[in-house]
Amino acid sequence: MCTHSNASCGRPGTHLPKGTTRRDFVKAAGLAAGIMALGPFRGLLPVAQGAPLQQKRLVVINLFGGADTMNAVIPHTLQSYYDRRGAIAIPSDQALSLTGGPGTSLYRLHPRMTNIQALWDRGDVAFVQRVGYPNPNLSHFTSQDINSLAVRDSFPVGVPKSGWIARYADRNAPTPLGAVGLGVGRPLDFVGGSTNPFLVQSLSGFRLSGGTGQTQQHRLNAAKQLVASFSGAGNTAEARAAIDQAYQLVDQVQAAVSSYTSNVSYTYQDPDTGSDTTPSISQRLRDVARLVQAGFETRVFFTGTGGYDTHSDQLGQHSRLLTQLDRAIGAFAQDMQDMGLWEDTVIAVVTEFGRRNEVNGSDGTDHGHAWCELLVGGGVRGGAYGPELVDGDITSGYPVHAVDFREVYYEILRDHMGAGDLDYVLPETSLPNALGLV
Amino acid sequence: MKRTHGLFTTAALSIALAGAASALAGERPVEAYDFVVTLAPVCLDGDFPLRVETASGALDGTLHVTTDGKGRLAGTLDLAGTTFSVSGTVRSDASGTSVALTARAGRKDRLDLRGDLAGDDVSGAATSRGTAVASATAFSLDVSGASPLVAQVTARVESRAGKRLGGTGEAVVCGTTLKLKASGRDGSKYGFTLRGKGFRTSGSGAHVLGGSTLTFTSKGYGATAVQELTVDTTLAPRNLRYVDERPAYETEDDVPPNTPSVEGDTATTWSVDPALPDGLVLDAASGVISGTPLAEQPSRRYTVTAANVAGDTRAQLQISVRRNRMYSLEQQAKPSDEDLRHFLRRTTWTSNDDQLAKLRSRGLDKSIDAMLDFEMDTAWERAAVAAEIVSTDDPEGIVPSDTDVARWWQTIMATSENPFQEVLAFFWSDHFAVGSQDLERAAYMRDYVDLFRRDGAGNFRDLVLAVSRHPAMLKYLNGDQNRRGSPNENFARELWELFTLGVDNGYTQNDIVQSAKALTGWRERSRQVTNYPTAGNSVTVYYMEFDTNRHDTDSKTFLGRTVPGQNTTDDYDAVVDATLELRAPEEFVCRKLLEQFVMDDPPQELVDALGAELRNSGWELRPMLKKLFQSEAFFSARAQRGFVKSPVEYGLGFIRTTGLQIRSRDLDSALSNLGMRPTQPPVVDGWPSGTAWLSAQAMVDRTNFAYTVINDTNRQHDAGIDVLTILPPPGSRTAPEVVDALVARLGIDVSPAERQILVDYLSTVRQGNGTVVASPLDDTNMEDRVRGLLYVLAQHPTYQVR
Repeated sequence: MCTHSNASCGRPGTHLPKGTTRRDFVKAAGLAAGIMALGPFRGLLPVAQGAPLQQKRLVVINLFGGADTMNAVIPHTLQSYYDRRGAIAIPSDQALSLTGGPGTSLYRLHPRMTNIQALWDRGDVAFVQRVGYPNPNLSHFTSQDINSLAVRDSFPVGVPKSGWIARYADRNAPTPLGAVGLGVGRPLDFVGGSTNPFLVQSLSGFRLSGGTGQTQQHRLNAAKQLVASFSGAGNTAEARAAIDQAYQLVDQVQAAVSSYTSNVSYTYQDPDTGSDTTPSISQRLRDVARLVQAGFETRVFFTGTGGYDTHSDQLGQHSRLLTQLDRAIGAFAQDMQDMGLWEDTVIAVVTEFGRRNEVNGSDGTDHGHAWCELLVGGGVRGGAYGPELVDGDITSGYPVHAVDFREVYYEILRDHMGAGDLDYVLPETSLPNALGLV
Repeated sequence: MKRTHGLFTTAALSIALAGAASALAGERPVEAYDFVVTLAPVCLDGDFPLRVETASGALDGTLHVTTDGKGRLAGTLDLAGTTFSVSGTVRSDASGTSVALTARAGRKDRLDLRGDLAGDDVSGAATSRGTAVASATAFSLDVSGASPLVAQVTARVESRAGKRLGGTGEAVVCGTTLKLKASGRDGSKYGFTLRGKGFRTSGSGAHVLGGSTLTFTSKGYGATAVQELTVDTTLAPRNLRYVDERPAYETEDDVPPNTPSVEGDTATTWSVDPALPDGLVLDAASGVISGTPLAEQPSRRYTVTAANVAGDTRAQLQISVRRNRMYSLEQQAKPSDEDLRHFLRRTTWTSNDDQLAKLRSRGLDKSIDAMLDFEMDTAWERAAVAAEIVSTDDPEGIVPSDTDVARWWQTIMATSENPFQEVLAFFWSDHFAVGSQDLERAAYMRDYVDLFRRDGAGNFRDLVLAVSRHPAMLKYLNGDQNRRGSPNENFARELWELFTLGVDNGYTQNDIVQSAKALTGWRERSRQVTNYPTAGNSVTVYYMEFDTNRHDTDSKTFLGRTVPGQNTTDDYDAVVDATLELRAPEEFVCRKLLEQFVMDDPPQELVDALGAELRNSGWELRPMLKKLFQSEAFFSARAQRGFVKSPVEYGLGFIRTTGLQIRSRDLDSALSNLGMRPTQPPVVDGWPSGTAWLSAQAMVDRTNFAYTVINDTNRQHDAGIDVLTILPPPGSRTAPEVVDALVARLGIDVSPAERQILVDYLSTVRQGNGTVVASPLDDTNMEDRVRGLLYVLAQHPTYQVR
């Protein structure tokens, strides 16, 4: 049984929600190509420039399982919070205050989010309350897919049934590493475009099996010679180009891994166990830093970490998870600052849904809807956004959405990334009133 | 022309020559020569200033003279107010050129001149009689205005009766054209003589194509010359042949370039008569026939003429153009071995010599019958159940996990003796996609897979009905939630949109609303199986049942047909029958079958023809599929190698072709890494296809899949798997033999250069310092290198297509 303990839990492929959205993925009339295609090989070679490119970047960190953001950004002034959360409420005096920055907030942070607090003090953290989408769906898969597609109703004519990152990449970053998924399998976010996405579990895993022994090198050299000497037409020529690109890309990515240098350590001493640890989210953000430092052209990184489906014993789990998240973001922020790229960077911490207000019978929380979205980066205008939580939000089952998650993306893409064709990327979204997040 | 003083001159008039040195002995085709013989430094033909020295001083005059073929001079001399008539001789040979002239006027006056050529003058002694010129002592004839005496020779020499040569030619000497006859001998000494009136030249020497240096002795016009001449020879083309002399083309297909070959020398001009069929072109410079025929042409003879300066040669081509086979469901006559390999690639994921031999001996017709005869409860199936489904926790296999079911089917795919049963079941599982990851009912999925394995070649109507009521489909597309008063249109829509008609093809939203009501009534139930697997334990088993209380009893009208309301049974038959009877689902499903087994974007005519087969057989799939796999369309050029392999086709093909089975858990994880885990299509319309599977990432994954397979040596040894069994027998295992055998087994096309790379790989080893040194293939290194070779071949571009 899937417990959502990791990001790729139960998701060997991509999922579509049951119900009406399934049909969104039907082939458009007359289009022969499968719309779920990961995109044809385009023959574009990646360009690792050897030095970081000065360009805007978005790093999306997905907290799989539905994160209890209310215990991360805590409405500690509301008695209703303590009434409903009971044993798993974070006491006000343990929470970290948000009064040291250019803006101040009545909310407080989970005690383990010390790096986020420090970044808040620099004016580099924004959070948006009550983010969601219309017609909430409390299924993990369905809600995740809604987040991935960023289309709630139906795709307009001319927009393929596809994930929003696929559409972004097609129009704004149509190169092999224009958009990268790290440690997230093959999520729907990347599916359905015509640009081939780069999806790997980890950079160090993106290599040809067999090690570096002479026997294997001998084989590989023969294979490379064979492919180099091949000339064919049609689909065999495309196959040749794809294999050739694979050889080159493996080399480039491995070169990026081995040449990466940083004064920042992503390994830290676990405050609970005392042992050194490099959790997966830290490894993944380090992989992002490696690609950035090597000069790849990536604009959007999509990564994440699981375990947030905290139906029971939430306090301990949450403490561990938020420590990992906070440390990973802290290290990555320092790394980007050292590279001089922090001002170009926005990190969006998202999740498929928030959780219920009331603690359940096993000291956990069940599936809810609206969540608090965290944005971190030199390109972020620090502060609290979205409607302030009031008792009514807490006495109900779960907070109801007031800001559409797609409006947050829209604002980042338009105002930070300078992206074009947003009618195509986010066809159901317009932004009459920007929040001024970035 | 510049006057030349040296007697021995090399003349070389080049004519491009690119012939093969094949005609030196034996029969020789016509050979063309064109060269210049220099007979003498000057040609005494024209007007020349003449000065005669006398006792009383010099006299200047003009000599008007011509020279005949024997070197006899004739003309006049104007000197000292007198016109003399002139006769004489000119002689040239290796020692020099001498002239003797006698000029007479009247009876008394006579002037004799004898001199030799030196510089621009012929000078020597003069004697005179008579009064016109008295006491001549010497003369000087200024020949600076003269041309050298040359013979421009063109000739054709050919073999006559073995080594005797004959031929004709021409020489132009002093403006006179002479006819020449040639004779000579061919052999180790090659030579010929050209004779004409007053001129003869005879050359001999070693004959070398592309330029023979022959020593020519020439005589004429009073001259004798011996010269070494490099004469470029051009052989006439002969024995014109085409790669394909009886080509049978098809409209709309690019024809493979039909390349000519000639012996002798390159032909410089090409022509064909009559004109080639529309769309075909004869390249006038190379003779290659290429293009794309546009119209049909019954078999007809065409004569191609290839010519150069030495001659021409002809070939007869019998060309026919028929309508492209891609339109035709007619039975393919006499499929070639390559056709049979194509058939195997499409129907079994693999093609190797063993299969080919079996197919050949059994015949295509019987093989297709056997392939379409789906057996259940076979040995391989029982083995897969025992290995993957049944466990001590679940001895009856009633509550398998998703992973159990995925591995179970993959094991069958990898081991079945009738892989087509799985190929077709996999096609249907993609067409009627249900993803077990969204079901949480793996037992449903196992049964769903078996539906296709059992009935995949049965009756299409029955299949659609079975799918529609299947618990997996009911759950996946919410049929179990579709009930009176609370309809769920999900399945109603997909039944038409994805499974039978295609999007927006012959139905309206209102049709969907109405048919969804007809499809109401099914619901999921569960029961406990107690004391399972052991006393005191129990498991929950799910099933679907029709609940009359949930069935909508209104009458429904869709696709123009009204189904009366009732509350005893479901209306699934009515919905499917209305679809089959009132619309044309055969088009949609046959197009999809063609796109899986024959070609992308099949012509409508073919889709319609195949659809008619299906409908006319009462929706029986077997006869339609048999027709398909025997059809000319299936074997047409358009169909061959037209698809990129999907991961399942690539992965299971590699395992089955090499015989290198791996553990089901490894296979499952490897196929999942490739993005195609059977039983788990990602979305409701199945998997991507075609070039979507070609990406750098996918290629890395594929290469690593192959590595997993070839690197599982120890476990494979334990399981009794021996990779050497796919090699030729011991004694025939040299590196080239091993390469050829495995290239054929994997169905790869390699060029000679690629083959050499593979042979080199098998014959070398990379040492610790990275240098590659020779190391013969032998029994001690055979297995390791063969495994390596399979890994290398799996990366070949042609192995990525089927």
